Amino acid sequence: MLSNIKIGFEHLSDMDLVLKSISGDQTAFSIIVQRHKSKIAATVFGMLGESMEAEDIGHEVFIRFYNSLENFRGESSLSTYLTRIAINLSLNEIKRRKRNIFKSFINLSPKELSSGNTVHNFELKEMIDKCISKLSPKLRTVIILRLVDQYSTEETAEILNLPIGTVLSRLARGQKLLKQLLTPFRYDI
Amino acid sequence: MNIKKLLYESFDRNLSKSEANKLKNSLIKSESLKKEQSELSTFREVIFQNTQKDFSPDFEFEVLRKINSRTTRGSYQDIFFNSLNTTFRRLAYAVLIFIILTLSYNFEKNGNISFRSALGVKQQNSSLAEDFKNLFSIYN
Repeated sequence: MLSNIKIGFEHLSDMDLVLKSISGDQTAFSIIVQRHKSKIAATVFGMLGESMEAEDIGHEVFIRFYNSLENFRGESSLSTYLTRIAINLSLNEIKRRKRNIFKSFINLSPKELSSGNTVHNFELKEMIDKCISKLSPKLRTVIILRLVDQYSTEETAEILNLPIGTVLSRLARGQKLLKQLLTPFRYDI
Repeated sequence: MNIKKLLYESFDRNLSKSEANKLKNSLIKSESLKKEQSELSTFREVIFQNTQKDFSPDFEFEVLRKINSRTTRGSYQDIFFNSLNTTFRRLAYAVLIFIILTLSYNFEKNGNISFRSALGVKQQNSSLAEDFKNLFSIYN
């Protein structure tokens, strides 16, 4: 029954769904979640690694959006708007993690990373996650938006409110660093 | 511009005609640069392929459940504070009306609305205060 109702909504634009959600239609809102969750997942998992908090941050992105639906004017695409919320919440989470003395499993030391032994213990995906988490939040954000979410350089600049030149230089620095971190595992790539 | 910088930027922006020619010529001349271009392309593809993840299957359900539970909690709080507000607002109005009536009555009866008058305290004159002062000075 619910899936039948959803089928009727799927042809609607993001803005139409937002307007329906404002009038209290939760089916319309669930279509928005369904439509954009993959991109938000790539952003929060890229920024925070695969963790329970990342899933919670994902929930929070959509809850924040739901609570301020009226603020969405459609000036930027909904995807860009949601990604901006996801980036801000992820950066807050990174700050919170830094404040905690807790050292997560993700935070392997550079020595551990370059020893080459770890490659036998982890899958390539996990290794890439760990290397990305080694980047500073500034570099990590542009790498995630451009290489993982596949936003254009212009969209990345818009989301982060940065000049395109800054995005390009951070991208180059981020890629060089990431390549260095992944060098011990090159035979896997 | 540095040729390596140009190589990196070629993946992320449209190069001008002169920049594209410069890169093209350098790639023809330098085998190592060509190798680096190919490596960078593979690297970016590997990063993209290995970072695609999704939330758990009940993600949408969880989002809506959290939204609804927060709304319900919010509405309980609203009911509590609204009833508190209504009750005390009535009390405040009643007290205000009582004060206005008392002041009006005093004004009508005594011709002033002073605090003492409102409380029904008789005005003391200065000679009475002097008498008390003298009385205490005798005992001291």
